[in-house]
Amino acid sequence: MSDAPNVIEIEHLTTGFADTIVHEDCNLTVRKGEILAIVGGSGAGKTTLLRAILALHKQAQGSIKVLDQEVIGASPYTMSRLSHQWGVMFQQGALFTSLTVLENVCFPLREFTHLSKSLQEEIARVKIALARFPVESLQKFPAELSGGMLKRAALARAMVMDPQILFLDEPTAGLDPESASALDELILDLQSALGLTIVIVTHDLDTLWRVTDRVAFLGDRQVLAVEPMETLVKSEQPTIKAYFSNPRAHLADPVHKED
Amino acid sequence: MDAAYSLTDNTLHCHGAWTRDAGNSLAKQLERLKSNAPEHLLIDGSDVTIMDTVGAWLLQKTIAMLEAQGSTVEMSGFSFEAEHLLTIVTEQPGAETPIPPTPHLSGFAFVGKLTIGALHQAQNMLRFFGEVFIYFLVWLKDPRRIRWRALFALIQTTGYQAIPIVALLSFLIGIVLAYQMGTELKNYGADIFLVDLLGLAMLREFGPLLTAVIVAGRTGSAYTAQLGTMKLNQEVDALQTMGLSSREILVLPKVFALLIALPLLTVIANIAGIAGGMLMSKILFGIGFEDFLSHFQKSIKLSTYLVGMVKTPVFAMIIASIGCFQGFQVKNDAESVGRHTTTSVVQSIFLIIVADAAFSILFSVMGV
Repeated sequence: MSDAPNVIEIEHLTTGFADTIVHEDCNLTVRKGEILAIVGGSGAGKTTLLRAILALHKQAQGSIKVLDQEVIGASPYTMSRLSHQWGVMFQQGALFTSLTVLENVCFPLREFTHLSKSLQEEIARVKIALARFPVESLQKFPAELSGGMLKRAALARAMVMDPQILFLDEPTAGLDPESASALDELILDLQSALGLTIVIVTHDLDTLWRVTDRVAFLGDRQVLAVEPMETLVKSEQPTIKAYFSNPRAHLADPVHKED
Repeated sequence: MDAAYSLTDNTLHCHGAWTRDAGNSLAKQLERLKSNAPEHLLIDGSDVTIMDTVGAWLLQKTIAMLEAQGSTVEMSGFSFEAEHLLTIVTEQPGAETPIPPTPHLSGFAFVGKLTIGALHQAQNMLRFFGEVFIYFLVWLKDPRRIRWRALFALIQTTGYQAIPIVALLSFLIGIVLAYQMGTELKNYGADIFLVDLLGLAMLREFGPLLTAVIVAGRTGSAYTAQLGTMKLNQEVDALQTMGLSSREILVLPKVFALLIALPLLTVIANIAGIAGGMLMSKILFGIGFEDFLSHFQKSIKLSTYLVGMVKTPVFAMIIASIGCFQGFQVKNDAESVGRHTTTSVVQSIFLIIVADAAFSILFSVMGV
């Protein structure tokens, strides 16, 4: 996998808000076909990094290349082309509240393709089934769904344009353990089935162990390490050590689980 | 190259880019295959440059259709990715199960549902006003419970910050009124009575009414949107679980603030309106400021002013309580916030005008 091309290249990235700096001179690359997680303590800038990659956070300097396109300062034309190559699942789902689930998933197809309405719905239904969203609830509005269903619907919408990269912001946050592990399985399935590159922002240690190929650890305004979980937990770097050396972290560790 | 296929003997050669851009034409082409499909079909995908979910889905659908007709289908030459995609698309149970229809109400049931909804709404409104009124009495009895900080902040945003817009609009209305009435009066040589008419119209009706309508649009809507968003955010529930009353903490300061701010704004609106009329009288009809004011003093009684001012607390109650009530009616989603904000402004303005008409009748009966 290490010879796979890079789909995201972040170089010398500095981001911040009006009076604080979140990242300073960060570097990170994401390879094609891998599942990379971004972790770090609260306030370490996980979400800001994700938003910078998606060009939602404007106060960024340096270089962020997604599929060889520069994102920082990109023209609206570049961004609109790029936005068909990625899908984003936001933490709260961010489904449009005035549309039903089916309409939500159809929405990108309706806006960007000329497919007939019935074909749009069929494609949307394939993705919805792929996201394991129950058929009975297709005509429901987002406000009528539970947290787990919201995430599945959001995942279906993120995938509907056949993106190359999938960004998942806290996919398992707020889910019960059963739904969370079902979602972990789903992410793995999708990756192996569709060959997607997946970038996950998460706090969930079970997800980190089960799903990820590599984990980027953010702290002290830097990317402190990008390692597979097995190596990362053995790191001697104080911030990383503190993050993984608490009782909850040990419980998720598969080595300890077998004890 | 466009996505297409060609049928020679028993082999279907697929070529080109089988992607969503070609989706509609592919769907049409594949539809034609239905009538002239051979018994045994070999699908060759070696010339397909790229395939996405749309292409895979259409091919899969065609295969399923042919197999249902009794043909046998064999595939060859597809790339690893395309084959994988075809498997995924085929393996999605449920993608074709029909969506259960949502029940539709017949005419009678529909009317009934609306009626029950309206009655329910009326009941809720009555209960809400009752609750607010009880806390109102509690505050009057025990003024230490009044939240002064919230109250003053609200008076600033709903009153002080509304001064420019209220003053400007009243000034303009004063100008318009003076112009319209003045040209008519001039025909009778009764220019000076413009002062009487203007004073009466502005102080009794236009000042209070205009201010109330502006504030309903400006503050009533803000109350609804704020409370609605707080409700969506479960802040209202949080207050309740802490044993605090959302009516006392959120609603009462808003009602009190408007009870203070709206009459004060009306005073300013009156002054600005008269000033506008005065300016127009001088420019168009040559009535000097001194003449205007001395005649104003003689002809306009204090009761005219008070009759206008008496209405303002009622208007304030209407705006604040409708605004807050609609805010608490918000449910589920952002759309609901928008809907209830609209309702809030429409209901407030409607009730303000109804109340104004009621006052007119009352005053004419009382002979004021």
